[in-house]
Amino acid sequence: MTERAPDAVAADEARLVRRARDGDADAYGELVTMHQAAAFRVAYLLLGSAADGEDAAQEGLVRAYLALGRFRDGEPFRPWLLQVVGNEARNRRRARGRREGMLARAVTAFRGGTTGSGPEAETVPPERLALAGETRAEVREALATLDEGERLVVVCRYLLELSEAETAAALGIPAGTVKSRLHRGLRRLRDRLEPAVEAVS
Amino acid sequence: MTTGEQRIEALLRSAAEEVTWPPTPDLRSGVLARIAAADGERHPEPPSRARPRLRLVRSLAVALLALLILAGVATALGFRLPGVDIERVERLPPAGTGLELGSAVPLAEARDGEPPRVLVPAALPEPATALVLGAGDRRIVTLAWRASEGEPVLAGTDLSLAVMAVGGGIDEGYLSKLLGPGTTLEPVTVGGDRGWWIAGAPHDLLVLRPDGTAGVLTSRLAGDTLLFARDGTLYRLESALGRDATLEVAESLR
Repeated sequence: MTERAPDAVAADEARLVRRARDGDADAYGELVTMHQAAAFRVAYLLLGSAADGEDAAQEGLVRAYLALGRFRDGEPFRPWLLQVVGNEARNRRRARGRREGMLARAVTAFRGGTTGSGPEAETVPPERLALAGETRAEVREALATLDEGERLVVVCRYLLELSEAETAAALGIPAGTVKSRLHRGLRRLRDRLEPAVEAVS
Repeated sequence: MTTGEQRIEALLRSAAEEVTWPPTPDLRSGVLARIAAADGERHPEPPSRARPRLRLVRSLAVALLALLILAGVATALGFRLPGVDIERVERLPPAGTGLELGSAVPLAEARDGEPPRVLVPAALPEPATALVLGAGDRRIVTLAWRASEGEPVLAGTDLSLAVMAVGGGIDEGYLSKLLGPGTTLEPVTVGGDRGWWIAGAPHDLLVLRPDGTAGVLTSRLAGDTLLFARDGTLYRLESALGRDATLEVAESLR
């Protein structure tokens, strides 16, 4: 199979976006097929469960269709799409956190004391990222030492293979924050993984 | 970027090839079905020609909303936890002093009136009393059966069974948090719905109301309880009849 030039793919994508904006749902279906894996994985990362990720990704993709009028021609489509899906997943995560926080406060208020921690909204923990092999286990353990913001950026950039712009859009943070978190995260990973890197080298 | 970081990058990129993600679901079908299901509303909005004006209107709306939220929070903080309304809603008095579960109503009103509408067990004769407490989505409907001679009673009452219906559901994750020591929680199935048999000491339940708030439902009965939710209504059967007989009663709710 020969790979198509990025420009040709972008031109096709732009045509599909224009058709979809004119109400051609099949054209939008083509766009969904092109990007559904990235959309689902971003939602899965943010929500920590495949079922929640699927629901959020589907809702985000429907919202993106309805919002196509706001997409600017000439811009890359995938970062915009991932931004809509990422927003949906983050909103759901916040709502879940609020609801669980409310329940925890209700229990605390009722009992007049502490109840221990309730179930917190979590992103996919590193141990759930299925990485095989001894070196991969070290990568997984090293990722677990990063704080959540750094870990999400590193996972989006390197394990999900998103660009910096796509990572910023999906996580709803400025590109500069992606760079700084990435820098800090890589430095901490380097400190942790130096022996593994030496072994690979 | 330092050489060390470049090597870490290379390691991460090689790790990426070995990540096993959950299988990507077929989102295309679901998305297209949802778009088609409401085709009148599902056309993308056209590109806006008045974007700056729209942004201004949105900014004003957001500012107004923020003001309203701040005012609400300020008011609420003085009196109660925001978003949480703790309410003890249920009282059963000692036997002989009558029921305090609200006002007695005809059975037909309890069954067919405003939600929550209580289901009636076909396996039992008509209840001695039907009662309604509260109003709106905090309304509690109760059916009560007095114990026949020789039949066990709920401690402190002359009742053998009370079937209560409350609008809302239950958060499974918090179900055990309000149960004290000596109380057991057993998952059961009631007509295909998930339920729990709670045996032991009196206990309290956290009810998730349809409006998203939470309330604590407090029991004064020393009876075992069958709990399950169906069609947006939470059913609590406080029973002196034992687990199996109570499950049979619940299975016959119509």
